[in-house]
Amino acid sequence: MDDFIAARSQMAMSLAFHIIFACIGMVMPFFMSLSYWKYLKKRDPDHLKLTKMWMKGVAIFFAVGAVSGTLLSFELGLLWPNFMEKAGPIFGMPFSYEGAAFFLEAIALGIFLYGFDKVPEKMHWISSLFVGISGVLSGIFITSANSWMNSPSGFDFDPLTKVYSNIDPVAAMFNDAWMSQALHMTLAAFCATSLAVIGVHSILILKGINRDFNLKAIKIALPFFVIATILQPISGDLSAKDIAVRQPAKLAAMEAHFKTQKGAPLIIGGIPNELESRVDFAIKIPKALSFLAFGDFNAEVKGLDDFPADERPPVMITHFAFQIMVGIGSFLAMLAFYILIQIFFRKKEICNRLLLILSISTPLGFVALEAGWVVTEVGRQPWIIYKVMKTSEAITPMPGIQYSFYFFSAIYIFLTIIVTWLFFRQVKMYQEIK
Amino acid sequence: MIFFVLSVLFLSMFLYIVLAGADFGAGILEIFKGKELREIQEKMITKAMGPVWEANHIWLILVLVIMFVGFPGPYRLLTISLHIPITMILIGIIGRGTAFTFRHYDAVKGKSQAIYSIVFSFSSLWTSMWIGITVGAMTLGRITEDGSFYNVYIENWLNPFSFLMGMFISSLFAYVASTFLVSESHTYQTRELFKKRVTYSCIVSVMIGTLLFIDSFFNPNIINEFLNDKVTMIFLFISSSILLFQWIAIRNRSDSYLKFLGVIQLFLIFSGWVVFLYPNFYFRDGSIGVNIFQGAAPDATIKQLGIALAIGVVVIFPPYLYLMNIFKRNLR
Repeated sequence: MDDFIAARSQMAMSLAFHIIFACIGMVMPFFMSLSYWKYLKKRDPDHLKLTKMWMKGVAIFFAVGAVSGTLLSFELGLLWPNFMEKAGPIFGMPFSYEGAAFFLEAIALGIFLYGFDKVPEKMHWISSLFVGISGVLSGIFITSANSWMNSPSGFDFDPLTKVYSNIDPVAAMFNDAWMSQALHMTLAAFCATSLAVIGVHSILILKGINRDFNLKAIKIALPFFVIATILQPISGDLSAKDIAVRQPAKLAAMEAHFKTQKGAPLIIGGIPNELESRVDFAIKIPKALSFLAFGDFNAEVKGLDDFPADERPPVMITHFAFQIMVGIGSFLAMLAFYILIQIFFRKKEICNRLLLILSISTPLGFVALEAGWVVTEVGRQPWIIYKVMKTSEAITPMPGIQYSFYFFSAIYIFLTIIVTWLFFRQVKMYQEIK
Repeated sequence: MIFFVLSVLFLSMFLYIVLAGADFGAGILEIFKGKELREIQEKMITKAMGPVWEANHIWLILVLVIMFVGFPGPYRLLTISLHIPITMILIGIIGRGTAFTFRHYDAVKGKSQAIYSIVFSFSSLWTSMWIGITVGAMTLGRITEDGSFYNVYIENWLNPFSFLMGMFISSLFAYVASTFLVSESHTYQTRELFKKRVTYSCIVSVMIGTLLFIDSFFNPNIINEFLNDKVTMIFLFISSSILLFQWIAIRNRSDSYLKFLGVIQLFLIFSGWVVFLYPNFYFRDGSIGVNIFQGAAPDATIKQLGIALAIGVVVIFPPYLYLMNIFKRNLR
């Protein structure tokens, strides 16, 4: 394995791992907080039990997220020192603010975890809320740093001398893509995490364990799921329109759109053939891509063939990942819509058939979320800073990165196994206490 | 503004070595616990560290962020040439971070606890060792980008000086941790046990410190600079003289002094090191070396970084102190 592929794989793996824990750490505190609020109002012991159960979950996921996040912040430098040297002073602002928000999250979590019977109840509840708020803020800051790589701004760049001048870190932080990306990511975190939580509790009900208790849990998470999931396609549309203008090569790779044309069709499924610039076995909806990208059925959409060969992202991966994300997203949006009408408007009880669908869907949100990150990261290739620095220029001169990759893979696999095992123990124990 | 940024960098590094250092030290002490201590110590450490555990380690992230935002050139050189020891630190951080969390939050308290404890204590030692080795490499200053694999990636840290520094820092961490734990023990028995730890770790620190001093005679540049650097010498001298007061404090059972003086000693040693390197990020062996001011990011970035840090300090400190306060009550 060559160093370049090894470094990219290690980075991808670390991010993929961290994102799951980061999202859970962002969203679950809100459930915990809401459940605690309900307990404080009605003093139902089930809600206290639920709060404590989720709290322990949050603590474990947060700690693993913190460790993997520390690891990531080191890996940025260890694997991509040339990138960090140039980019650090420009896109460092969101990192600084993210550090502060994350710090606040850790403090608030500390107060909440150890504050039972020690802190006034109101203060205690506020601390739980702050865990979530600062978690979401740190997520937004980090996404802003990433969006700068897609939409670099806040500096002048001379391609000949490779000099970065007139640095403006504030302009870099509020780059063109930050809003659409931050919105899309925050909604995705809410959708994926709430679905996973709902799914786990559905599984428990279907297994015949503590129906009432688990239904209370589902009722707390369900509104978050419905709202986030219904809004997500709208935010996705905003992102796609944004990409169509700023990163046409990424859009073309996502859609496996090879030839520049007016009234471009939307390609669903299919296997892209990069050598012959065509897509096999696909369903084509005429003019739909032009409409989705530019709001005009006859708009011209740039195809991959218009880009030099060394500036095209890998089509196969980007296209598949995009299809997975959109496919799951559409399915979940329909599910959310169904729940909205049946449960919230018609006030029907949650039936076992719905629970079954929800329990099967447990991991789907996270699958879509990971696929989405593949789209945004692989779709930006070969650039690390879009149109400014190539990923191959960013890598460390240190040889033998493959061994580092093997080693960290082993660590991540091991950690995944342990966390999963701990998770099952946790769930099992709490369900046994009546 | 750059001096403000540097002060925050200095402060976060210092807080990291005191707070996380005490954590590491507590882990190291667990390796050397006798039978009597086994349970008491584990309980005390968990109780003392639990609430602030996450917060302590975020100081490191802050150090890192300030480095790559504010001082990208030196940061790049250090992450390239110290790739191996930094990776080793990371492995240790993963090990102890996860083991500590799992030990604390695992719903079932069974056999697995023993495994978590072993991983926790040994990775504490491992991490401190590699932090020390990295510090040693920076002190020795053979940081370069040119030459063979050995010159660039190995030579700077694979030497007796760096390893002695690793041992020195590990024993210092254990020393600070034991002064903390003495002042937090409430029975005569535990107090006596931790008092012994203070004495042992102190003796070990002094011995390794002496070895380190002797070894630096083999590195003429270092020893010459050191002997010329009056401030560093004075700092280290005061730090050693405090040991006498520590002895008195221990005899008079004035625990808060013991803890306080321990922190002061660490502060003096750390400041001595910073003064020794200043105005560089690592020792300039011959002509190479990276100057803090030459390696700094453009003014616009430093200014924004300063603002961000100021906001961060204002937002973070009140709740941080609040948390510390609760956790103190927690111990009572």
